[in-house]
Amino acid sequence: MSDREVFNLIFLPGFSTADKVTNISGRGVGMDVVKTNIEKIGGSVDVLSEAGQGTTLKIKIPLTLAIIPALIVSSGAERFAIPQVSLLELVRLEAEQARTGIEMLYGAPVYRLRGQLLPLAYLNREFKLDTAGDAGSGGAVVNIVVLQADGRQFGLIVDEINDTEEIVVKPLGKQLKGITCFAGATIMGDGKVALILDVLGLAQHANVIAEVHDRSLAAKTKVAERVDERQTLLLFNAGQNTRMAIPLSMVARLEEFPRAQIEHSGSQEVVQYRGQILPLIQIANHLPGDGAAVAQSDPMQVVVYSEAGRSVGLVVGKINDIVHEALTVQRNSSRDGILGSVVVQDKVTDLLDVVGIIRKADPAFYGEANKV
Amino acid sequence: MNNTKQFCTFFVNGLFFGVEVLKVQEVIRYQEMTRVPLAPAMVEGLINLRGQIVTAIDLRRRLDLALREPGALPMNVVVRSEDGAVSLLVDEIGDVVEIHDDIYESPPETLKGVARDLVQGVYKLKERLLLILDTEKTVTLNSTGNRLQEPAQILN
Repeated sequence: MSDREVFNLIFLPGFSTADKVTNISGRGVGMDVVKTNIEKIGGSVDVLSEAGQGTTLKIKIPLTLAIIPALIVSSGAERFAIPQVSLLELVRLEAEQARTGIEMLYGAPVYRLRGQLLPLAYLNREFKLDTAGDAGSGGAVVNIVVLQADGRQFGLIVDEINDTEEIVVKPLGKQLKGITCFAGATIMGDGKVALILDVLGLAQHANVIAEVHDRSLAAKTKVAERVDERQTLLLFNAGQNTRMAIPLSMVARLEEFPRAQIEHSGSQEVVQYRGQILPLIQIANHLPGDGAAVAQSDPMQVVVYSEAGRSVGLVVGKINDIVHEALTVQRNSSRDGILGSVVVQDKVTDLLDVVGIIRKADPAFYGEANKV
Repeated sequence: MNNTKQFCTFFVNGLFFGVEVLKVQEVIRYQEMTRVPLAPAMVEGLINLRGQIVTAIDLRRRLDLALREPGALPMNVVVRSEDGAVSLLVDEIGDVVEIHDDIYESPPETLKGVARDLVQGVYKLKERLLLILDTEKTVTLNSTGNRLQEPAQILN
């Protein structure tokens, strides 16, 4: 029997070295319980020991519990966690704004957020928390957390906005399951328990979304129609006369670089751009038929595309225009680098497959996962 | 000889209660609690029990007794229930006692209200009566009253 095997004997149930066994201790249960429970959650426990030197216990516990990013807010001296997924933005009203920004509409507080009425709920009132300086009723600062529940928005007024944190979600006992305002609880860094808000449940409790249901549903469908019909496109030339377009939403910036600025990193053409190295992709090289006609203009016209903190420069021939247009015809294409064709300003225009071209030119751009 | 049972005992508003010792996970002193808004009043809050979140139920409110004096800190008797650990807040902890079944009796018919529902039985100790709580029912908050019609037949 190796030393290691001998040490592991302490994890066997009923194994005891105690001289005296009492009701409570010495029964050889403790370490068995430790091992069983750690293994139950998928961890492992190991023991290393040297006589006269000391003992090391290695406990490995997996991080498989549900961890979510959350915003921590306080109201009435209590802390609450709001899952980031339902969070849209934070609005802080100060001084004059704090007094006049919130208007009452038949007793229902609302705030004009960029021209749209945002129904409001006071967290301390909803939860009947006692706050010394009731936020909103003349307090110096009003913090509004704009939340989204079920596709609708509302503002939650809290006393204080603390920080975002990664929290471990723990379920509530059955005694509290009936309260729809909470999704669970978590333990904060200081060891205290904080409740996690269930945004939809809270909105229903505060009656902030039932009222606006129809209205914003109507607004949503209107927006959806508009998105279907109209799109903002950037028009440019690539290679020979091809008329190309990409949705403006994919464009981070438009830049011009003199040809002299091009440097090489391996076989890759790059330029220095805002303290970073921006790889360049010649669009024309990736379009069928235009192989030889790489853009020669100087300075180069570059469309900067960013994704997950990384940028790439797409070198195009000439940037022509930005149009906001209803796309009338859409034809799918099987050509490399082209998503399809649309009619823009009565002319046939090819939609560039930005993602496809970048993936082809630089497979590493979209992260490790795609490379493997 | 073997029909004795062990009970963890405690005091709530002067009454002497017991819970079967096997159902008790641990007994701990007062813990800081996080209040739960909108929760039933009996739920005093949530405590962090070594990383586990445990609901604390105020036994005084649960048993319809007089409220604790402000400033008096309750103790936690953490019991195991079907739904995991739940803490019962009590005034004071007693001993673990070993009692023979001979002195057991089901609760008298005159017992009313919530107590009728939650008290499983009574042990007639020499100096006082020990009321045995049904932990599962005690931690189920909306069960109150639905067993009032049933005769007490919980004799083991």
